[in-house]
Amino acid sequence: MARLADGLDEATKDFVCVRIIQMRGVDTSVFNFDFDLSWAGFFMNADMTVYGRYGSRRDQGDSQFSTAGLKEALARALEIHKGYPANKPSLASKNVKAPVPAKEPENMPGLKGMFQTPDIPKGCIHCHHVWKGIRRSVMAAKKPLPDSLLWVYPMPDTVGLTIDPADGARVSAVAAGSPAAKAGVQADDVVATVGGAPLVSIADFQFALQNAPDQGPLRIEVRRGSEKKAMTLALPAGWRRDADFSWRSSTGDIRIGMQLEPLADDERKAAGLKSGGIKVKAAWPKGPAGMAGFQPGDILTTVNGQAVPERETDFVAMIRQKYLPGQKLKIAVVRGGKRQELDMNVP
Amino acid sequence: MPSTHHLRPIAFSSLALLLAVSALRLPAGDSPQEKRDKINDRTEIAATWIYDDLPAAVARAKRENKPILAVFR
Repeated sequence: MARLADGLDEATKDFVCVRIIQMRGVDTSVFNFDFDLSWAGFFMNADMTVYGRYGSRRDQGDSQFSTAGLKEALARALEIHKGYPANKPSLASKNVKAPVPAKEPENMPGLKGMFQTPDIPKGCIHCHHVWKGIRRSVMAAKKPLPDSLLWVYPMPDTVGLTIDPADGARVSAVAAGSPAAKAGVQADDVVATVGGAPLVSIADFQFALQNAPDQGPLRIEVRRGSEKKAMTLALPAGWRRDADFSWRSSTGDIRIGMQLEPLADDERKAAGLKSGGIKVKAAWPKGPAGMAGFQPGDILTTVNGQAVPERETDFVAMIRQKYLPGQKLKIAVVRGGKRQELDMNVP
Repeated sequence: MPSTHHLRPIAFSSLALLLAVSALRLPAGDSPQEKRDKINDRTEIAATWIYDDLPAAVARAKRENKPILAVFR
């Protein structure tokens, strides 16, 4: 019999709990979350209005998961439910329909034909497949991938806010010079609303950031003691790009068939580089890079004459934002101290 | 699956559900919907979690005027 530990039984008793085991048939315009997660929760009304979300992960592991944080999120969601439907207008920004190429993953152009059998687990569509379906649909339409489909579901840290995962709304630190610092947020403030909607958890903040403009304002409200303060985060151009997305399993699809790793200073110097450059950690023999002749240990220096960045994240973004599938790449590499060029087409 | 101690209670609950579901020994020939129905007919499980059936959760939430917790895992 299913039982929850650490008081979660009590915290969930006022909810109807359902576990969804895979994504086939799921409306991803409503159930839109960070699909690289292995545990994501939605708090919602029976009319499908979302009260809030739970589940966050950063590149350095899973420190955002917390039983205490989940209890807080459940309690906040229950309060929203008690005030529903009078408070429905305040939930508008939490219920933005995600711009997906098709509601159900199996109908996304990028996944057509991949999951024909309804048998489970043979035809099981995993959460991370949804990112693949969305990205492949954009690439199939011969369009570059936007920032919002590469640096997906940004953590609040991206705008300078560290939020205590055991609370889900309390600010534990503010990075100097960040949009949050410039807006006036302070440590120990409690984020009450983002985009006008009550904050339930860190995942709620991520949803608001996912739907925020590539440049522009994001309204928040914080509680400081007995005061409420309205603030505006001014998101600068490229604000998503500090994050690292290379840990995401879904990105295997947008790489060009190789795994990359940073260069040590002496390796960079030996390759004749002052900055930039990245090293091939693995090139799958039957993948596009392997077929083009790339080998582990190769140091990539330029792509079509443009310097290669130091992070794998930025290299993948460069390929997917500057080039379209089928376009030719001439990649300069240093192998065993000698420079050569390898040709390949963007997969 | 994340592995810190913070998540263990959540993982435990999922494991417990999995074990309970496994204990049903459903015939291999059942369709996914038949499997879902049989699992959700077991009242000791259905009393706590509904297995992979969002419409059933919506119906119960309407009937009992409760919010839904939908977990994707």
